[in-house]
Amino acid sequence: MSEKKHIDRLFQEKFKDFEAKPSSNVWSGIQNKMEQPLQKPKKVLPLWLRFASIAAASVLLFTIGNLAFNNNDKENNNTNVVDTNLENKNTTTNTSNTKTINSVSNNTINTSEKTNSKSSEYNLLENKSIVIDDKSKSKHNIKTNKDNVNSLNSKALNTEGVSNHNTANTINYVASTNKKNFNNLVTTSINKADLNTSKDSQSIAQRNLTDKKDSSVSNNLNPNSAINNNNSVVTNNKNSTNNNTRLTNENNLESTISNNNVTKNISSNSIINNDDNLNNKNTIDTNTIDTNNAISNTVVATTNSDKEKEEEKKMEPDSANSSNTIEEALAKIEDLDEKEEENVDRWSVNANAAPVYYNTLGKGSHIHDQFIDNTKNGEINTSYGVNVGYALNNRLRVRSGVNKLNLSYDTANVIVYENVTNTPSSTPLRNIDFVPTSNGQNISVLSSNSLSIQQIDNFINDDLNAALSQRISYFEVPLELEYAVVNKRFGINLIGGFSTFILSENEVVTEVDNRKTKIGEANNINNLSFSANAGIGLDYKFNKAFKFNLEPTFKYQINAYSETSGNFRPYIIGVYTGFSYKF
Amino acid sequence: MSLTQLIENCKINDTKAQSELYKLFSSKLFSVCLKYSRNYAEAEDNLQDAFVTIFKKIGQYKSKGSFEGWLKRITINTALQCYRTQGVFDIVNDHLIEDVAITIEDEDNISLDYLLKIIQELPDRYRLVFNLYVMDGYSHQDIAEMLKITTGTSKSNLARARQILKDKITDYKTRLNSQSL
Repeated sequence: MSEKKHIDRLFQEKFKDFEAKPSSNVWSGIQNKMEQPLQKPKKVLPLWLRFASIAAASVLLFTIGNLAFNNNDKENNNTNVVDTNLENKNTTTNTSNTKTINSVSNNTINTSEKTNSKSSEYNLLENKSIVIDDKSKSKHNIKTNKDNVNSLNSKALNTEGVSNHNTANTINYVASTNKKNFNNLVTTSINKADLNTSKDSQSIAQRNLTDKKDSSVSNNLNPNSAINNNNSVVTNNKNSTNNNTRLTNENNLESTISNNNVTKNISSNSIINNDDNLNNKNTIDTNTIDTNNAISNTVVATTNSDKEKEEEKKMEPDSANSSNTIEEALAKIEDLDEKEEENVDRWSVNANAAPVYYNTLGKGSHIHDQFIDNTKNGEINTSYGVNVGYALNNRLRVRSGVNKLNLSYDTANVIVYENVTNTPSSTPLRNIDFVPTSNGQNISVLSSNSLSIQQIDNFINDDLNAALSQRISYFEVPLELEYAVVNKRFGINLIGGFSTFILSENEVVTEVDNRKTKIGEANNINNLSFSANAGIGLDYKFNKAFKFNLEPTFKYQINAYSETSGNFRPYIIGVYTGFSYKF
Repeated sequence: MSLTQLIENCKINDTKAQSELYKLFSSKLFSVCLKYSRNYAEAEDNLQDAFVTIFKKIGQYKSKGSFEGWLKRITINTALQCYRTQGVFDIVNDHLIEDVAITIEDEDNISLDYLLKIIQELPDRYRLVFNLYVMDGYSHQDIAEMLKITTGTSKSNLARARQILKDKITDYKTRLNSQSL
């Protein structure tokens, strides 16, 4: 009994089989804490809605994009129409008027008046029939055109009055056609808008419907206490509303949600039960303390447990049965959730749009040797698309998708002219396939740098110094790896990967005073090209699922052009902004 | 249901299996929590946190080594974690004392309840070191790493813990004797 022994041994032996039953509210606490992550997918939109929202977002983006681009196209077409009309008229009038105008020019040169010389230059250039005619300005400039033309015509009147009427008529005609086109445009766009709104309203109506159903289902559920009954109610509801397949899907999803609500109620019930137990226990504890005997806690524990067992037995008809059924119900719900949860947070969808800047690293031209020294500048265009990401682990994410990418690149100080003689240009640009104009004349382009200064002074004023704009439109399929450096509410990611570019549109456009005319297309752009991508992603998480992204990305194009002049190494910088949605 | 099956079910978040696992191990792990905590309420909090961690990380259990040992380690870590955040490890700073063999009269009538009480009453770090070393068989090297102290401090803390415990037991026995007299 009073044998001396090491104090460690005493404790080791005493505590060897020491076990203590924790109070039941520990378990309910654990359940509550475990439920928190489980509740998240419950708040998440139903699966079909997710895809629908993504689809809707992408459709919206595309329609906006299409509208914008269609407008541009139509405007271009309008100007083209005007061009040809005017050109035709001009050529007819010109042929008849060449002599008279020449005489006018001679006169003006002789008089050497500045104003006159300018107008004569103008006339001269018109004779050469430069592709973009001032008269052929788009609808915005019709009034000014009229003025110009009138002033010109007034001069022409002095020499010959007949041709004047013709041109005036053509201008009126042009104006009317423009108006028509414009009206058409407006109406079509309005129609589109109407369609969109009607679709929206439909979807809203559907949502309202579903909401109403939601509430009705949940209302039916709440007053009932037994889960089995609830389930049957739910199924009844399902059967009654099994008219549309879609609706049934909704109901399924919503029934799970309402079930979850039920589970909440249940858990609160169980907490109440637990509280009851606790109270009982406390009373027992106080009793034992009152007796103040040196009865060991183990004994107390056993008595506690015994009493609890007895209580449990008593409770069984009341609550234990229900708790079992509750557990079963919980298990069922969890089973449902698990199927979803395996995918939870792994997939993400990201809709993004970006201003993109296109330029070259080296000095060179993708068009021709003569443009190497011309000033060039990349323009800021747009890119938009949808990406899908898959999380490999907490930090690494693979993503891919489709982006529509529009690029343009301007080569300035270019002279564009139409060969009057119908002979091909002496130095054709090997990298551009020219589209002949409507009256079969060939277009030639040359760098104004190649002309001597005197020539430029004589021939060209600043207005007519055109820019040659290469417009490219790609479908981009990126494959990128995203590594999360900081994974908090504000996240920082490193992005690396490559993109495959599939060429969709390609045209070379001349720009004079914002008037654009397509003159051909580049033949040295590869249909399939690649780029190496690197970027930094910044994101802000609104919640677990929704995230705002801002990704400045640098894309170095590897084989965009089959042959270029000089050291032309194009790159793309885009600041991709968008929202991503995890599920 | 076998334990391995139970673990597998817990890995897929089966609530029933989790409940089963809790029933199986809660008493054992609660005793660990009681020893490492200051009081009953804190022990319950620790047990709760420990089980949440267990259920969240059960996927990482690779069936190597005893499952109970794994559970116990998580529980101990959870208990230590709460002190790490509180920063109590730095508070006790005294000169090292030598580890002398402290013996005690073997008393069968000392209640486990009382022994637990005096363990809980130990200063935090003494209690942790005493539990880790005496109850759970960690070496001073392990303890030093876990608590971010030196092995010397660990040994010193242990000796102090033993001394305090011995004094309290002696005190308790004299009170008990005087009562029975």
